[in-house]
Amino acid sequence: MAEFEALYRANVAAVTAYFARRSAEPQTVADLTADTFVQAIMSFATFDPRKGTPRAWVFGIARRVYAAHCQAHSQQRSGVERLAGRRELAPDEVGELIDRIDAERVGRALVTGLTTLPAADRAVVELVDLAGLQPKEAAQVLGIAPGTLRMRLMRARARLRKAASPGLARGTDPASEPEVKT
Amino acid sequence: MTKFEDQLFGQLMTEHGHRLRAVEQPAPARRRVRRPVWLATGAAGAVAAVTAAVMALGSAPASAAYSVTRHDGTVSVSVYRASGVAGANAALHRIHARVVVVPVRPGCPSITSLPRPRPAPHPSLSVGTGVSKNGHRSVTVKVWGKGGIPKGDTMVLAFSDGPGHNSVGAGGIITGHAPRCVSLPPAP
Repeated sequence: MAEFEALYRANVAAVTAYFARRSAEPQTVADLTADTFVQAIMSFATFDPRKGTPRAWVFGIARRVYAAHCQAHSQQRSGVERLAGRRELAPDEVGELIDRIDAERVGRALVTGLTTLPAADRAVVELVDLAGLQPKEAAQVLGIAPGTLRMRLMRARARLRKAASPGLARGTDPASEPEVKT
Repeated sequence: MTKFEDQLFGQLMTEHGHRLRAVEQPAPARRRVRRPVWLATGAAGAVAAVTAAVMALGSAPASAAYSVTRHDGTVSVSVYRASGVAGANAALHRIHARVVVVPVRPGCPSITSLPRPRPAPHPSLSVGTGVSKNGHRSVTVKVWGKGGIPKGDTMVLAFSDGPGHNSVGAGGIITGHAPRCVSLPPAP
């Protein structure tokens, strides 16, 4: 129990930010974050720290949760089967999430801008440059070798520099830029 | 943490915390077995317990395939599906509980033919059956201390799976190593 709590406390902000870069709806961000940690609880017994860091493991779950969410949307299901019961957010919780969503505005724009990249490259840039995972952790999340990840990261950054605004082309951190023109 | 993160954690623990508690706990833990019915572990009683387990109905939870919970001197075991047998045995081994979960399969040694300790187990040796919080049958075995499993002996728990009746039941104390699988005597 304490072990899970430590994992939760260490990663919940990053996971919330991950979803805040994908949705500007506080309830959606809250639901996807909840689903991720419910899934983490359900499979916590199988988590093996020898195979990767807790952050890599949690982000792997978050990606799957988001993929399922997108699939449900694309198939226009009447409702996504929720792993967690939807909880009504208190006004101050909504306020916190709006602040978080606002803070991720730049990241959200960048994620949108990244759509010109191949999906594999996009995932690498997002996990490393936006979510702040170590390359090794991102490789674990994506199930690829660290060397492959570094290659993709270099390639993706080069493409972004080429396609980016003049400010970004000067070599500043993509995450610190307001937007990427594509 | 923000209020949202705190509230979410509280909700997670309220609704799903039992899944974490179901994972092996090294220290005396909350009692998970409700409505315990303590049985003597004579051969007849053991077979009756297994038979009852086979007939027990239950649906597996979405995640864990088993739970092993250590209490003070006892251990509670639930297996929700066949894939949980190995994990349950590994967890029991880690806590040095001489308890083994064995799947029930036709053609395997009959559970009544397994070598029983001589003399018979201590009369106070006890096995309890109950229902865990998630609605599954669980077996609680007195493992350590007075009335526990004698040294060199092993408590066999028989796991039977099939449509609508994934369950574990007390098979009885045997001497020596447990077989890989057991069969049950025909129903009377």
